[in-house]
Amino acid sequence: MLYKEFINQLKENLKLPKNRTSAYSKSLLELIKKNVEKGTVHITGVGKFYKNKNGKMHFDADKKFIEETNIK
Amino acid sequence: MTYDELVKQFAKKNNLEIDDAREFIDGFFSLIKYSIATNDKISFPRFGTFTPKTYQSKLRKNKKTGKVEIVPEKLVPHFTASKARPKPAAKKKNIKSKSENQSPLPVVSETVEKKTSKSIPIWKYLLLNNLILLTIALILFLLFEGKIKRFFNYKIQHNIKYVLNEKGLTYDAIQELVDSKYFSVLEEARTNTMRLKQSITTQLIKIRKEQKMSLAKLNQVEKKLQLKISKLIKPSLKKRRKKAKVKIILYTVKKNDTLWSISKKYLKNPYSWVGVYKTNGKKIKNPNLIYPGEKIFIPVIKEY
Repeated sequence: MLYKEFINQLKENLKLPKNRTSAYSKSLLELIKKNVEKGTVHITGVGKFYKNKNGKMHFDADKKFIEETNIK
Repeated sequence: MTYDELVKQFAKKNNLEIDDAREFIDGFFSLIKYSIATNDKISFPRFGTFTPKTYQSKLRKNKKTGKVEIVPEKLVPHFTASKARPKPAAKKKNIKSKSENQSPLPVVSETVEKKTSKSIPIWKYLLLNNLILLTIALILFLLFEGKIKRFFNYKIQHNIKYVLNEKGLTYDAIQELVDSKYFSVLEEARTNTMRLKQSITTQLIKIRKEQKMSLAKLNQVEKKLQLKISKLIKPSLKKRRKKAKVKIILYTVKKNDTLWSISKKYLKNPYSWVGVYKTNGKKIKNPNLIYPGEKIFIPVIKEY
């Protein structure tokens, strides 16, 4: 899924204007990126964003996240 | 950083209420979950991509109990961070010491000179110099190409003339001789090739005509042969059919008659009682027992 498609779907789900959704999502990603440099960012039910020794960003999914994706 | 802190910061940044911010973040990550569950990857520019990765089912031994368990197939999100964009290179500044700044005349320090010399490697310096030299040489060659050629030709001719003069010959006379001989040889070769071409074409035409004639003849011969063969084959088949004509006779069995004796009498061969037995089929159940008054078919071959 491309970023544009993602924004369009999010707009429909949350019933927000398109410019607002894109702006909010950008700010969220920036916030995560900024806080990852200080330490780990743990979002409950989703996972952990953290930085490696080499300075590369990683993501470890939570158990709940994996369970929800594997429901059929 | 926890989830609540993130929500607070997000709300503060975008002038939103906490509930609205929480709703947006939940919706954002639930869409990511949905897309991964449907085996679709999402890419966020300047952040990274979430890709679904399937781990196939496998067997695992429990160390505590020692039992073998089946681990089912799993879909796990895999995140790869996007490459950070390189920052624009900062301009190098020649930082001078205070003492140098105080001096009235601008003096270039030795350390700075060394750095500049190190910045350009030797191979690059050499390559650049060589390139310049090569370009100059090329331009010169292109400009004086004709003159250089003429100079070399003149030198060669002069050398040959010198050698010939020593032996009492002139260069021009020899050249004329060579030219005349060369042209005569060429003319001869041309005439020869023309003749050869003409002869080959005539021969080819002849061969083609002969081939056509021979093909027509071959077809005629084939037709004749086929007719002959057909005439030869057909009557022989008719004859064979005539030979294989069979007549069936009805015979009433008398006392002391056997299939052996009947076949000996009518078919002139006692061993062909099997044929008689087979023609009657179900009439004779046992070939050893035939009763008087019974009617039997006997296949008599007329011409054999």
